[in-house]
Amino acid sequence: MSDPPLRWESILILYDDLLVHGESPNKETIELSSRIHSLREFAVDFLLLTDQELTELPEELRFAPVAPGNLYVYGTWKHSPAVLEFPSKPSAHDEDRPAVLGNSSHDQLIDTDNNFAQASSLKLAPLRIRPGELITSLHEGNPEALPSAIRAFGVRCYLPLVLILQGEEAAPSRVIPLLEEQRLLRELHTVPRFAHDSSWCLIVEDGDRHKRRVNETILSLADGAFGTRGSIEEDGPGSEPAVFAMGIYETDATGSIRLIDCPNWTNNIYWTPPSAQLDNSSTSTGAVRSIDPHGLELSDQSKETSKQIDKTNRQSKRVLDMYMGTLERTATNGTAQLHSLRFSCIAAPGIAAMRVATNGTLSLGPALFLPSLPMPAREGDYEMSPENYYDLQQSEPENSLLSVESNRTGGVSAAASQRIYTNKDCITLERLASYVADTKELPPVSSAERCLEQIGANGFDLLLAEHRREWAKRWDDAGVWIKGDPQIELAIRFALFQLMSQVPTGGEAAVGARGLSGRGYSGHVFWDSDVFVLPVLAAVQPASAKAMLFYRINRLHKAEENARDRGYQGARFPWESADDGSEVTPTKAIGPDGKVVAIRTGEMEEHITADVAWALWRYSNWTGDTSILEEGGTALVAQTARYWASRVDIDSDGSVHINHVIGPDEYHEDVDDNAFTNMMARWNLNYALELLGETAILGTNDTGRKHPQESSLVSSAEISNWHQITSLLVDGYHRESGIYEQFKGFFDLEPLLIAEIATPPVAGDLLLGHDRIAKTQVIKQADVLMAHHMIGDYVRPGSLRPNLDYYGPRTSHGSSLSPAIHASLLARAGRLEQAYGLFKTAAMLDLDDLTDTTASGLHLATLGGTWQALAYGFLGISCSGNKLHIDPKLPDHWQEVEMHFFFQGTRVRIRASKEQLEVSADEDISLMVPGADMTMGKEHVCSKKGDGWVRR
Amino acid sequence: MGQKMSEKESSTVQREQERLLLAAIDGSAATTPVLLAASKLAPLLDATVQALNISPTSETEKALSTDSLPDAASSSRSESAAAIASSLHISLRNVEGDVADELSTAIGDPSVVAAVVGARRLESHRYQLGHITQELLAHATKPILVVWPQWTPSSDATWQKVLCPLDGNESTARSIRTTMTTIASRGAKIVAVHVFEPDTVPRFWDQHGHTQESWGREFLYRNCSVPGTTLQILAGPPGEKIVEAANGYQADMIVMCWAGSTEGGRAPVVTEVLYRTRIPVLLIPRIEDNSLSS
Repeated sequence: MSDPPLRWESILILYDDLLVHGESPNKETIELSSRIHSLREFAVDFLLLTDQELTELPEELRFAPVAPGNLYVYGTWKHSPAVLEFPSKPSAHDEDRPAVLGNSSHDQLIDTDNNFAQASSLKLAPLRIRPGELITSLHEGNPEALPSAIRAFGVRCYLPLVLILQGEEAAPSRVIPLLEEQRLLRELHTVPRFAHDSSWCLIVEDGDRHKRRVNETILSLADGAFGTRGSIEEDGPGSEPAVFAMGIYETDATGSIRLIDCPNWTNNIYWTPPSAQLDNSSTSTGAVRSIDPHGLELSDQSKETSKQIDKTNRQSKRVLDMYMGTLERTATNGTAQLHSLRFSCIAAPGIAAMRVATNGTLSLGPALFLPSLPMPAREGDYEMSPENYYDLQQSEPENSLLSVESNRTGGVSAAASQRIYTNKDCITLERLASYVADTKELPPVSSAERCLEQIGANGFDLLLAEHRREWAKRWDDAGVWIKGDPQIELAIRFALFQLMSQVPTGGEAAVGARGLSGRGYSGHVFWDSDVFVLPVLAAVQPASAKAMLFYRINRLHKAEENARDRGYQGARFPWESADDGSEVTPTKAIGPDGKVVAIRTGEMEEHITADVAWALWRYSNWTGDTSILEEGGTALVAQTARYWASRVDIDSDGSVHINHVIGPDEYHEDVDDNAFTNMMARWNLNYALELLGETAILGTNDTGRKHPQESSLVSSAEISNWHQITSLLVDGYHRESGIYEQFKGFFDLEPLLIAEIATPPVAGDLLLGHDRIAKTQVIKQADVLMAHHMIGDYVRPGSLRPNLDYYGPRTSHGSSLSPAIHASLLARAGRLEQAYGLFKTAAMLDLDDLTDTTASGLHLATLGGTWQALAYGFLGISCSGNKLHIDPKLPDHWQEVEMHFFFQGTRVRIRASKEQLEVSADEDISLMVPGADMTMGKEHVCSKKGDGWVRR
Repeated sequence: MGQKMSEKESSTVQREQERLLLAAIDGSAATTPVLLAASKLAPLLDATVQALNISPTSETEKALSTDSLPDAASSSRSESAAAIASSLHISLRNVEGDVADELSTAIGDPSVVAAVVGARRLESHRYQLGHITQELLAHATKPILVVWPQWTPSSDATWQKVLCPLDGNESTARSIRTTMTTIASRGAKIVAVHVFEPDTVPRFWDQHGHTQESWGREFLYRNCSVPGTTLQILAGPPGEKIVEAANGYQADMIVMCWAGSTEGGRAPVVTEVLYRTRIPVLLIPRIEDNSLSS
């Protein structure tokens, strides 16, 4: 099977005067127009640049039909540059009429030698071409300038997808055959083969069997609603293919609540060389599937299959192209080759698609199967037909329908079709899947089937186009570039790719500790979600952060129940949460001494309640979207504050305490006055006071409330009480040393430093044992320092460094959450070498499987923490009110960092080096940098001067 | 006539089909435990027990072997061995010669899947297995079950509980895979044990219950992908913890992988377990990575 030609998703053609007047178009021009329009039906975008007057263009181009592919015709005639835009969706204009974006006046033009005029930013704004970029790229052939120059495609540019033709290459006689080839690639349903930019691609060799499940995790594809693990098509025992749906849980045989296993759409595809095919007469392929985590004894059939798998594994390579959101695979097995591409359509959550091509024999099972059930018989084998040169043979589509109903509430229905296309070189399977989930009741399978039917002809290509366009948009909003550190650049992009795809952009989002990428942590929602993931999404995908808050707000009643059951007022959120918001933390496990260990986090790790309120503050403060407060947010803040007010103990001396808790450092349980918990509780009360203010004092809250907003009504007595608590709640701060005592009595513990027993990161509790470590000052993760990270403005000024000095050497970083937080704070403190070391640990945690648990899912909190360390730590980004603060401190080998995000509803782009800082925004923003006065504006440029910056 | 199988060929085929568990006896105190252990292990390996009694020919060996049965004459040990084997309905083959050589040759036969040997622990010699056993183990290419004279068998017809310590080394996983798969397929319940030591403690260990499940699941996938196996994670001195776990589990047998030598402080965990336990220990020769790749 020869490699098919590369596919181009966007084609840029630069003409001099090759197009003739519309009234007398030649044959070539007409044919060219025809080819362009036929490719637009497959969602290929075109940008034509010509030095002709647009009125001189042939009619076929001036009046182009509406099609899935965009067409922009850019007339660069120096006296009347203009753009014809044929967007992919009908505009208010007649469907066949172009939207003429206008002609520029003479003084807005800059003449050029070759008549390609540089247009004004005003005229080219819709195309996102900036002044100077086009000319620079065309004249100087600067490849780095090309991406921005050709952002004219309605989507932002990903250079490998764009074919640029100019000069002789742009002659119709050469372009037409090329376009015909591109059309054929699509007509023949080939597996798209794209060029890739390695800085956006995670490349994985499948040979190492120990990394099989790790690869499945890191190659997960999600669309926000559903996540699919990246198992290879023919894999058998030892692989863990799985699909998970956001928020759909079940109770398992042990009574634990976990994410439900949805029907899987990626497997049951076996391929072999014709001479080494499996026993086609057999119908017992069920033996190749196993849900037993330890594997099953193999039948003869599956042993044979396993041999094939081993062979293919050794020669299988996959490319996760994060810019496009696609997973591509090339593999060989003897004379057989396989090429596949799959994606979970982020533009249409619930829809997934794949194509698989081989020159060998393809053996298929049903398109859907449940991992928990024996696999049904294989349905049929297909062999390539060499005689069918370009005579495409299509099988009838075969549909699979499956539903899984939760034994709690809701369920998932899925429909999938698969179709075989046979042509000269290979046989191609196209599989499309549709998922529908409902947290209340099992959706009818017909609803999934309907979604599938709506995909229609050219469905794969059109879905892929929408998918890559959506990803392009997201990357334009959230991209990160780090010159001088390609490994970290890729790791940060990986973190963003997974975070942006694991969380939906609407509804409510129950973001489990491992997201939708694996069974680990049963899909339970921890503070990982509120504190580590949400701040990232608030900056890069605010709608997802809001969905996460709705998950909490919609379960406020359960948190209120939880508080009541414990004899308190207000709302107490569970340490681990699933579908209904009740506490689902396991209560025991077997410890390393073989004895049963009580897990007390559900009972005592109460800072989660303040963390949830903090997440709400973080979102509304960062995004400027205060509507969330009216949609239940205010009630949540009031109720969490009310909980703390009822939870505290008051000593005879009037001091206020919170006893019997576990802080973030879980090596020390049942402690009193954990500094972090107390500070967060105080912060929570202060936030409630700030939010509710005097205007909210409308009456006395009672337990018989009927509307959520009623819980935000507070009395003046309650307000007064909250004020008193915040002033008297101890926080363990020692003025002389500037150090917060982590909890009462911490300073009296054995002053053991982690370096005395091991090199961190290390699981200190396993090393020393549960009882022993509790008697030492070795801690699991940032605890006091977590307050510096989350509420830096509320901790004592100047306390960061002394607490870093004190707690850093005591921290084992045995929690995967810890390194990124320390990295962020160390960077803020200017300790860049130390910061970078921990930052790299966090960035590579899943990619290098540093925990040996990535197989069971991504560590979303660490992914979030990594981005936070880059943004808040190395770039020094923070906000106060509507002001954006930036204070970059970059590691030596970083030449330049560029980061995109949203702030207060505005898209912001930062480009920082050691000498210069450039900030641009779509709207005016208030920017503060050290050493320079605050300014408003869209464009800000500063130069380094001493420790601060001066504006230019 | 050409299609008729010769006797020799027939014998070869028959031998290839046989799976023998060789029980090495000498009429010493270990004879009964060895044969009993062999009869309990054989069903797990899908094998038939064959006792092999080797009468030593060299004076040195004779002298060395008398310590286990001090009151027995050399000739009467063979008679004793035959009587015990007969009482257990185990076929016996008698051989004369150098014990270690003969045993190695017998074990090397393709039909033999494993062997059972007796150890003699001298309380004054912590690492003493008996020189023949040690020599055998040093060159073994097949699993060898070491049985103590003091071992008291349970009344179960076959062994049900097998403890398998795993060090997380890939060659260990590969070495034990076939044996453990066979044992599991015969219905034995396998508990794998991994003991964290200071230099092997994981770097990260988040919420204990969840992490243990995730880590353990992956550990089993990589190291003992045998159906039904459960994992016990422990911390501390490995030899001590393994024996504690075996006692707590009331294991019938401990299965360990080893490289074949205790000299120079090698195989400290195996050595420690052999010293501390009276539970039979099945030692599976380690297949090193370089031999795997070849």
